[in-house]
This record gives sequence, structure tokens and C-alpha cells, in this order.
Amino acid sequence: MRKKAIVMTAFLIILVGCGTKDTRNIIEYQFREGTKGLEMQLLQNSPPPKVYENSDILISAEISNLGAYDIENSYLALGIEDEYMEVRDWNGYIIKEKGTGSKRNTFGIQGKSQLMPEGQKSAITIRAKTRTLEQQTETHTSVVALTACYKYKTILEQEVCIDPDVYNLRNEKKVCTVTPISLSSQGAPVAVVKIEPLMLDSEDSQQARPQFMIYIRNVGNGEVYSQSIMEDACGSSAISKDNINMVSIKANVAGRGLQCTPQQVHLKDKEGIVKCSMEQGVSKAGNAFSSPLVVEIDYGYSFTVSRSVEIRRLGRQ
Amino acid sequence: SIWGVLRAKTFDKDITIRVNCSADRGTPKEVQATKVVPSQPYTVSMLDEQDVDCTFNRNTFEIGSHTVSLFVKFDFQTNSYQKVYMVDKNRAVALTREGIDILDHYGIRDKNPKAVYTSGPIMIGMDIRPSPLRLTQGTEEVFTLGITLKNQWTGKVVRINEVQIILPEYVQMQSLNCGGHEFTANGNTYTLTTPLSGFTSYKTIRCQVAVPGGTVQHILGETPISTQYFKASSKYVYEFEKRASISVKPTREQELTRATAPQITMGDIQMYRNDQKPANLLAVGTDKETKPEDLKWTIISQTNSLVASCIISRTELVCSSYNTEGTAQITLQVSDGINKVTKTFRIIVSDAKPGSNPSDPATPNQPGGTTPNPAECSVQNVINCDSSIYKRKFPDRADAPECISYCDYYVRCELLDQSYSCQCSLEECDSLGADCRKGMCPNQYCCTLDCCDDCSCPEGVCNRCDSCMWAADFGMCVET
Repeated sequence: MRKKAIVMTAFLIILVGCGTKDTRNIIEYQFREGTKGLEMQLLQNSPPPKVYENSDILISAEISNLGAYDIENSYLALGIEDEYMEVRDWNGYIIKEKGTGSKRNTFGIQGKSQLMPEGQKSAITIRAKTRTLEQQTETHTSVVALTACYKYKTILEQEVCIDPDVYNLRNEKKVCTVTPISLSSQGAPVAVVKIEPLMLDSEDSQQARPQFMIYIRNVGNGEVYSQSIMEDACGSSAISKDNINMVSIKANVAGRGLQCTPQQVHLKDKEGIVKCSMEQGVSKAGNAFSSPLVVEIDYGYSFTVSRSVEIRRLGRQ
Repeated sequence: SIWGVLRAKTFDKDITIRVNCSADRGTPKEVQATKVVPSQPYTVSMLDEQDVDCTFNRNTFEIGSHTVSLFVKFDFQTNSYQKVYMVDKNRAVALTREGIDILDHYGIRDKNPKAVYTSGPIMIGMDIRPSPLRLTQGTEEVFTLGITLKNQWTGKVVRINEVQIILPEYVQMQSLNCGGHEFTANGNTYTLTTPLSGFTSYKTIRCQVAVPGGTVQHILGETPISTQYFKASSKYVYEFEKRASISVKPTREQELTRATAPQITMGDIQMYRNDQKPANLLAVGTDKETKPEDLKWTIISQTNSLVASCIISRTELVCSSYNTEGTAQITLQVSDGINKVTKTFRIIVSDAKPGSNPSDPATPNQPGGTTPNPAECSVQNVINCDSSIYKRKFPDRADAPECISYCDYYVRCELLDQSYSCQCSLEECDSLGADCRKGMCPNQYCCTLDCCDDCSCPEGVCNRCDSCMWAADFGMCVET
């Protein structure tokens, strides 16, 4: 009897264990999508299209991080004509140095994530004042330009096929095939647009060496800089050509680092190619398998929004 | 008296206007008005209208045409500024090499700003290049600033009393001498030391300006692009003139006592077929009170225009005969402004001169192939080839240089003016297989290959394209 009860209990456990899992409440959000990073636009009537001399004006911008990377320690530069306008102070949740009369400031803003699927959005306000127009000047049109210079990273996680059968000699069914992969965006203004995997013979005849040609493109509406010079990008000091259109890249497959050449990739006509290879190959004796390729591209990014403001003379003698 | 209304408007400072009048201004006969209203300078604050009255003494003017000028002088100031972008040179070079337009990248829309100047008689244009100006930390950069004062109105700048150039902070003139114009410096304001002479079109000053290397960081400031302003102002005296023509007529008594009628000494003209003869009207017409060149000539009538016709070209009466013998009557009138006299003369066209018919196969069509007969070259028909207007077609024809223009059908004086380039000679036309005929240029002939298309043929049908012969004002078709 006791034996019978044990058998029944075990059967019930098996029955319960074979039930289906309820996945209705779990949604995995693909936040690494889109070609946008930081977005910035001047708000309507701020600055107003027409303003009088000696008047306070507000320059307001809506800033949102629509990419999949958090921006930290990045810069905003306000381009105004000193002769016609002066900055009073900066305000906004994301602004680091509030209250300063400088034309430059630092900021940080969170990007898209599982917890914040739309990214952070915030408004900044710069209080400025127009100066007195000179004699005989009735109106003057001045440009207000806000430049953002921010550090960003593109992260790509893509399943790739590793097939040690370099020459496809094995007559067997494989779980995957090595083919080029076209991509569009990864939630950043610089994107990996194509991966061309190759399986090469290694010096060690027992090993096959995976290699990936990674195609990168600036798909945003700004310019790419080296991440190291983002303060200068929004400043006035010299910038070397070597720091423009330059990104740094690293990649790994299943946690094994790849050797990328070059590591600093120059984007020519907004595009660049880098070759990443696995130093130590995989055994030719093994079967084909899929594995995640992770590519990380670090860079700085910059763009400007601007608006014309007509400064009018107040009636005076 | 003459009078007018002076309308003046100023937006800024008051302007003081001085009014004056004179007649035949700028000539030895210039006469000042004896009375001008307003006689004293007056001031315009905003918008003003002022009646102006100029009175000249009786008997001031001689009989005839005169020009009376009302002119106003006033002091005026024009200000100007030029927006200039400045950027670090290395940054500009790096971005440019990467194919990035630096001005686009930093949101600059007004990429080629022009100088802005206040309204008034002159404009002040300014230019400094390149855009943006490229500065280097620690290195002095020198640029050329060009300032042009240009007359915009129809008057003239009498004198430039002052020119001031105001440079942005940290920018300075490399030398106080700008192309011979000396300036003095007071901070960033540079002032011309001596007044400049007036002008009617424009005047340019070019200065070398420098940005010292040590100040680049200051001038560029915190942001990638710095916007600066170069300014200039000028104080000057401007004169605006309005002219009116007046005609002073003689009194009745003067008219009666004045002037005998002019005379025309013109005889009949003998011509061959297809011939041309000019007559110098300066020698044909005389008048006691009027210079020959002031006489006015008119052809009143012409008869038998298929035989010959005449036109007046400057001071010449040019008669052309056609391919028909006969007699035409021309009535010529001369006027000295008061009296008019007419004279009728005949053009008698006889058989063609041997060798003058280009269609005659027995006649060689060569320049110089015929020697003019000096006997046929009467003095009155001599063309005086004025070297300022004409050149000789065949200068080597020394045998009868004054006669060749009409004695030799193939040789004549050519106008130097390029607009008369259509002039041709028959041998040129022959070489083209075309006719020499009247073209668009007055009294000139040109080669045409499609003569029949262009000819109007009032009296015949063109059988062949080369059948049109040159004629007077229209192509005349003859059958060959």
C-alpha cells in the first residue's frame, strides 16, 4: 500500500510538472531600435521670433534621449551674438550647473531601457537678455544656436553562426549557416548596418577562426567625434582631423573577445568597415552552433538647432 | 525765376541744407542766381517740404538754350556694419577636410552676411575674408578689410570729412596707414586723419587688420563659433542737383534785327550708275550768325528714287545712284533756328563708268585694279577721311588718295567703329559668293548670301539668290 501511494504521488508530481507555463504578462521590450540618440528642439516662441532691445527672453529646448544609452557628462553650447545678447542663467532638471551665466553647460540624460522604454525627456531653459541696439538700427536679426555634444555608445547583440566546417565538407544537417546579416539600427545615431561572417582556416590546422566584417554607418543627423574630445567639440579650441568621424569599437562572441582592426574606425562619407577576428579559433571537430556577437561602438556625437530672432528697437529719442 | 519744391526726410539726426542756383554750371558762362529763397541754411528734423525760388537778373542770358541748376548741399552720416564669423583654424580645417560645412554644422543660416548700412546718399560696403575667419592660438593672423563708399544717389559726394572704423575687441589695425590713408587710433576706434576728396562713383579703403595670437581664446570665447562685428561710419558733404533746360528767345525787336538767312551753294551732281558721292555740308551751307556745324539740314523731297537717292549722315550728304540712268531732283533745306532756306538740285546719272560694274566680266574686281581719273575728282566731291572716324581701305593707294572713295568704286573709307563691322567691299563679297548690299548699319553695306530672303523686291522677282544688287534703303532685285 505504501509503495502504491509513493507511485501515485510521483505520477501526480509528473503530471503537474508537465503543465504549460503562462507567459502572458512578460513582454521583452526591444529598446535597442531606432537611429536616434539625443533629440533637441527649440520650443515654439522660445526664443520668440521678434523681441525688443533690452528685454529678457527665454530660450527653451525640449531634450530627449531616444537612444539606448545613458548620456552623462556631456555639453550644451549656446551660440549667440555677444554684441546683441547675453546669457543670464541656465535651468532644467538635466542641467548640471544651474544659474551660471556661461554660454556652455553640462548635462546628462537617461536613454531607453527596459525600465524606461521611451527614454528620458526634459526641458531646459536659458534666460538671456537682449542688448541695446545702436543708433540708426531699427531691427537686427540674430541667430540663437544650441549645440549638443554628447558621448554615446551603440551596442549590438546579434546571433551569429559559427561553423567550424570551413569548406562545408561535412554532409550533415547543421543548426545554422554562415550568411551575411543586414541590420538597420540599434537605438543610436551610429549603427552597425551589416555583418559579414567568415570562417577561416587557422594556422593550427585543427582550428577554424571566425572573422566578422562589421559595417558601421552614421545614420543620425549630426557629426561623429572621438569621445575624448566632446568638451572641445562644444568649445572653441582646436580639434584635430583625427578626432572627427572617429569611433572606437570592440566586439566579443560568447564572451570571447575579438581582435578588431582598426580599433579606431574612421567613417568616410559616414561609413566605415572594421574586421574583427577570434584570435583563438574553434575546434574543427565540433558542430556548427549559434552564438551571440556583441559589438560596442563608442563615440561622441554633435548637432545644432538654431532659430533667428529679430531684435527690434524700442521707441526712444 | 525758377522754382521747385525740396522734400527732405531724416530718421535720425537733424540735417542742415544749403540751397543754391546757377545757370550753365560748370561752363565758362556760369551765372549765379541773384536771389535764392531760402537764402540761409535750414534744418530738417523729420520730414520737411521747402519751396525753393531762384531769380536771375534780366538780360543775364544770351539767346538760345541754357541749363539752370538747383543744387542743395548737406552734411550726412552713414553707418555700416559687417557680421563676421570667427573659428579656430585647426577646427575649420579638420571639419572641412571631413566634408563638413562648419557653418551648417553650427546652425549658421546667414552664411554669407553682407554689410548692413543706414539709408542715405551713399552706401558703405565692407568685406573681410574668408568666412569664417580662421584664427590660430598663439599666432597672429592678418586679414584685409575692404571698405567701399559708393554713391547711391544721382548727386555727388563733395567731401568726406570723417571715416571711422570700429574693430571688434581684440582685433587691431596692423598699420595706421591704409593704402595711403592715415588713421589715428583710440582704443578700437580708428579715425581718418584728413578729409578725403569727393567722388561721384565710389572710393575704397583697404586696411590690414590683425588678430594677435594671444587674444584668440578671448575672441573665440566659450563656443565653437564667435560672431563679431566690424563697423564703419562716414560723415560727408553731399550735393544733389536738379537741372532744367530753358530756352531764351529774342524779343520781337531782336528777332527783326537779327540774322540773315543761311545760304546753300549746291550744284547738280553728275554720277555714274551704281555710284556713290558724299558732299560736305559744312562747305555747302553758310550763315552769318550761325556756325556751319549748328545749321540743321533736312531733305525735303526726292524725285525719281529709282535713279538715285540721298541721305544726310552727320555733316555729309551722301547720294547713291542705282543701275538706272536718268535724273533725280533733291530738295535740301537748311535752318539756322529762325530762318529756313531750301535749294533744289539734280542728280544726273549717266552710263556706268568703265570698270565700275562688278557684274561686268571684262572688268577686273580688284582693289587698285582701276586707277581713278583725277579729272573726275572735282574738289567739291572730295571725301576728307577724318582719321579719328575713318581709316583708309587701301592706304597704299597714294595715286589719288582723296578721290578713291568715290572715283574708285571698290575703295572707300571704312568707319573705325566696330559697330560698322558689317561694311564690306565688293571683292570681299565676291570671295564669299555674296552680294554687297545695304545692311543694318546706316549707310553701310554688308555681304549677304541669302540676299533674296532679305531683299524686298518691289519691282521684280528674284530668280537667283545672287541677283539682288545693293541699292539704297531697300534691296532692289534685278534679273541677271
